[in-house]
Amino acid sequence: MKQIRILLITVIAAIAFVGCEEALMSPKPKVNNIAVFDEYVKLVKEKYAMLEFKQVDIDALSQRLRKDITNDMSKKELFEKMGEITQSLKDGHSSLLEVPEAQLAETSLASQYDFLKGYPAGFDLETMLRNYIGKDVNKNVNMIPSENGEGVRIAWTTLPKHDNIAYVWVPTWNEEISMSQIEEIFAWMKDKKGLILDMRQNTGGDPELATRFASYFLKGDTKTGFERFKIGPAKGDFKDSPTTLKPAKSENLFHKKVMVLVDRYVYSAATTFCYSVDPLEHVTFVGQRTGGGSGAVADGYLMNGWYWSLSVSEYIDARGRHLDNGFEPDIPVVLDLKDQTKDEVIERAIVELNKQ
Amino acid sequence: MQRVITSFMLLLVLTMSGYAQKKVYVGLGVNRSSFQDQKFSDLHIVGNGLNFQYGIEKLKEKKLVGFDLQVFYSNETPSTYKYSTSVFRPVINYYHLRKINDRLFIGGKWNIADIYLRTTEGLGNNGSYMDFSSNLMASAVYYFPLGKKKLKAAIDLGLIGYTKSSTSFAYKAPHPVLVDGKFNMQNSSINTLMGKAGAEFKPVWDDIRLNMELTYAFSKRLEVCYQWKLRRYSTVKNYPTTYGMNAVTFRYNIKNR
Repeated sequence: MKQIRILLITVIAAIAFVGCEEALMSPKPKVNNIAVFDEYVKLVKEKYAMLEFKQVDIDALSQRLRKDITNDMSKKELFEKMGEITQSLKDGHSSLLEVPEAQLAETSLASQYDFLKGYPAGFDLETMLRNYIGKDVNKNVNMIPSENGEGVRIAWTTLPKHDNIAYVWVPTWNEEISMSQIEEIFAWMKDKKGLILDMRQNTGGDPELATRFASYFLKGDTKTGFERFKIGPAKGDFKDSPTTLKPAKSENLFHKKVMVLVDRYVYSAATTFCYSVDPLEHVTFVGQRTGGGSGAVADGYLMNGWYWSLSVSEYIDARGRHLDNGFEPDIPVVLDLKDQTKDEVIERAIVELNKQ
Repeated sequence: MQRVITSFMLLLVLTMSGYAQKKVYVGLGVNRSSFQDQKFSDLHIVGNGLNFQYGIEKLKEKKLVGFDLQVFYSNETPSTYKYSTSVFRPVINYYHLRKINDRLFIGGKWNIADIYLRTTEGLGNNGSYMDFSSNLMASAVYYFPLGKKKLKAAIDLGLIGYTKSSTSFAYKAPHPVLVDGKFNMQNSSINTLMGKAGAEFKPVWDDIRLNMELTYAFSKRLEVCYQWKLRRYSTVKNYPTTYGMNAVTFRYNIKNR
């Protein structure tokens, strides 16, 4: 009997303490349209790192929109109003989605800025396969396939008629390339007189991988700029992290001429790569304006389960350029999509590499 | 810190094996956990799960010494949407208390490692939250007599902790790294749980840790233990993170002499 009493005491103590920590938490918020709107405005206002650079007056914008927010408006109407805030940021990293990105369907509500809109294509796979890396024209292509086997993680080869020029295509930083694979590629290109590093279509992935790859081009400690992080809720709560990169510890560093091919798709971690090698004299960018996306991304759920993501830092490179809207390459070249006999961007890079 | 912990664990094994082991137990139980990080949301994220315990305890004439490993797992969701968070929390403790009288023991606990990992479905950069800490705690144990048996009540209050949290005000990097302007993609120590970059010492007023425990032995072999663990700290002023766990564990004493 006594043991049952003790068990009861323990159970009662357990029940008494269950949720005790919740008493210390701020109260559970009421979930309604106005509260969801206010929560999103607060997140953008406190966390978004480029309101000034993007010239967004979040107070004025939110006050204007809030007048139209009611608790009986439909989910779609509310989403459209909140989507105006997302669009005002003009930032491909900042989104508002009804469901997380992996679960997006055509019917899902989504607000994402299209940073590609208005820019011509800078890459044509058909032209590449027909003239440079297809099996019919080039037997020397080395490739690491993507994890699902359907794409390319990285490919490296010499170009037809140009045995002394290395060509490396990195269409993504989103899939792992191991240290030993990087070493293998750089060891292979060591004897070549120059490199065409094709970064076109690379919308990013892992910035640490991009930085690791970039470190093979460095000659010494290199100042690449600084990343300005939002570290608190107030308007001026920023802190700069200056970046000095160190060369990779490898015998296969590459210090000969490098032509980095870029287009509007070059975004996020691909921008990380670009600013990491931009200060190097032997590196030249060729192609079209890049996409940018230089900010680090934070994400979460609003109280009603809508997914949000925001840039919570911005990168200012060694030349003092804000990179979020991309940058113009050193040598601008536009691809002629009607002429599939050559890729003008590659051809221009070859000309540059063959110059004394 | 890794070296300190490894050395201590080795020392502990040697020390504890030196005792005529009074009690060695394993336990299994259920828990209810809750979480709120006001940097990101005011929602209370709550869930249930399972827990495991393994421990060694020696009650000597003038002291109470013990070591335990506790592992908690739970699955949390807020009440307003379906995306869940899995929580995994292994905790290792060593405690050493001096006998004050027949019922009361007072001393310290080294919470050697408290690892708190959260993985939230559907999120990208902020999908995983990691926290590592090693804490010195003040401890007290009181034995309430209940006829021929006793109810053991224990309380621990964190005094100072060496902690590292993976998330700043917004970005997934330790706050001290960003505040000091030391973020660098080439510093892998920033994102590793026990890496030095971003770790800091936090006193009790910056990081509240409170544990309470009630243990009752039904028999020589079987015990029931109730625990309540609370942590509340702020990375950024006025934006506290609070989490707690209530667990009931049934323990079996493999040895109890």
